[in-house]
Amino acid sequence: MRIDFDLLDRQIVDLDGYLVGKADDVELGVGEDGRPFVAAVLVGHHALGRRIGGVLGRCMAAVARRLHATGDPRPLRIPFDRVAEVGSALRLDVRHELLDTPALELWLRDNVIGRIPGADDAGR
Amino acid sequence: MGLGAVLLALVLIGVRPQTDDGFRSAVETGVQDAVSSVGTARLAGQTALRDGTFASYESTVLEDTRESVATALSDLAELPVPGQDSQKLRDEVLPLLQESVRQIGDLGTGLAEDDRATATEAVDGLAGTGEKLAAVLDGLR
Amino acid sequence: MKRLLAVTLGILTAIGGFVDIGDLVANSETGARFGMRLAWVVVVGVIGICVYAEMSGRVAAVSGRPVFDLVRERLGPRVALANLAGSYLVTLLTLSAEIGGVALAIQLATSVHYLLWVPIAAFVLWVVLWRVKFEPMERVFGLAGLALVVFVVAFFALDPPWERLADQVTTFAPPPAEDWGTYGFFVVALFAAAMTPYEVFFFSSGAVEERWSRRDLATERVNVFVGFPLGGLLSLAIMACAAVVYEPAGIRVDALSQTALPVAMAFGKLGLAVVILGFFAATFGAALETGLSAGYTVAQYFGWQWGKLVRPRQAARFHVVVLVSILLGVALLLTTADPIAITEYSLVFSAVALPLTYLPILIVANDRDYLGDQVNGRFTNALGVTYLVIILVAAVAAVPLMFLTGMGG
Repeated sequence: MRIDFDLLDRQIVDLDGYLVGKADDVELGVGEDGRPFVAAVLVGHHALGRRIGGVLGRCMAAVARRLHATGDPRPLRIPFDRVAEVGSALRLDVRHELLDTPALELWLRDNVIGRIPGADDAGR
Repeated sequence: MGLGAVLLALVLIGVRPQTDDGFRSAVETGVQDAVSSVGTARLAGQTALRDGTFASYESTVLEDTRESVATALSDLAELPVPGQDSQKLRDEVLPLLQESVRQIGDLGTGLAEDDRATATEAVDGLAGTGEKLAAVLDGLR
Repeated sequence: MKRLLAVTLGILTAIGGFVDIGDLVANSETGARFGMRLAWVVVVGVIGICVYAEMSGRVAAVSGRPVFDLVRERLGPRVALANLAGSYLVTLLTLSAEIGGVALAIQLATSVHYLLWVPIAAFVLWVVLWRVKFEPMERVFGLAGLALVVFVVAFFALDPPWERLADQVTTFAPPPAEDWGTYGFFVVALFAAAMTPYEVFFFSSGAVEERWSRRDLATERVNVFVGFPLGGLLSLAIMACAAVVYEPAGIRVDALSQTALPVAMAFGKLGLAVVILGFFAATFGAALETGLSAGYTVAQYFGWQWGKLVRPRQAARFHVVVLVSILLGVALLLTTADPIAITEYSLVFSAVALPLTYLPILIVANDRDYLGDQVNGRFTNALGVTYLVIILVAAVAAVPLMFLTGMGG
């Protein structure tokens, strides 16, 4: 498996197919035998901004740092053990409710979309 | 760099002094617009007189076309005249455009007030003006 | 029986949904100025959209991933971000043009100025996107768009000069009053009207939302290969009507009211009413598609939850992008920019942006990791590469031609 070709920028979906985010970056670890392995997948504009680089990338990361729900502005870290299947998407073995909701989604849900009548109605 | 050169060229084209050729090409644009608008108004008028359209459509078409000729008219009227030839061309074209605006207006009033005589007369008038404008356009090309 | 009905409905929707404001404007403009001399471009464009839509539908059905999802995977985050910016702006411009088209169509029916209808049309558009289910939404406007078939009937009723039109169809050069520059400009505009990028964002995202699988591939192909060419026939009929009525008189078309006039001349009030209904359905349907597509492109780049199958609360970022895009489209129209001019610009920039999404799809359609045994065959690849060249030429030529001819003069 090649990280750049098979992991990075792939869509991440949860157990039910809910779209969690993109594999914006990966965290590498080094095993006891000295071989590197993928420890976690990182999701968020901070991680993406770092990879894009340049002025635009810095702006993206800065905005992401401003928008935080917990006072802990870090990308969502999904341990690689939770990835059940690497295909055209990375399928997790957990539900998205167990992961942190991204700050932007949370803010827009509470302040914009959630206030419009019908926001809770079943999918159409 | 390339983009800068293109923009500069555009600005230069925009501010260069008016010449007879430039005036001629501006007149050509205005007359082409007038030919299109007068022709459309005539066709719409004929169709309306055969009871082929309804009022909201007629008023929209006639307003669009009248406005288009009126714009061409005021654009030309404001254009500085660079020379004798241009002056002659202008004297030939401006009355035709004024005539077109008036006739399209008459057609609109005629149709709105259900005055068939006025509307028919306006349609016939537009046919004549249209032919004259088309002849001018042919001469300009 | 039920299967047959579904396929028929799909085809009819594809036909009615094919025409949008770009086709209405570009086809009647070129018909008026070039007669049927540019009819070949519509044929080339329709084959192109068939190739492109079939590939992206197949990719979506087999891999479960829509177009923009794959763009980032294949091009990397940086190039894909530039790609996103281009595609989003073009989709936004098209959305604005479609809303303008809706307002112009209502003006023809009410004589109330279109600018007053713009905010109302946009609000209704948003409510439909917010409340109405995906499938009925697509069906209703696609089927109502079939009203534009009246152009085909009107063409025959206008007693067309067959010999002259046949001459024009087989002439591959501009008429005496036009030059090669304007000829080239309208070739690009017509091509872009047939092959608009948003159609494919919408098509492939719809396929994912409706959970298409390999089993649906046959249906998908029938929809594309039958529906789009018949839709292209409507485009040709619009062009032909303008060619019959306007071209001999040297009248140029620059308003939607002019596009409708040939039908009124052929069938009177009833025909006019049908054609205005068709305008409304075609532009409103396309406004729904472009509004959603604006959301799809952004959400699929960032990996956000998108689509109408989940509660809006669960796709807050997607719904905000859709809402903001509609507001931006309205704002552009309220500057009193002419909707027809916005349409023309959207066509030029569609041509520029098309390779950005076409190329990744062509690459993925050849990738066995995604498609297994459903990768492009030799024939599809030959066609696909030919169209890549055509699309690149159109993209490179579009902006120079726009400046050279002053938007076609």
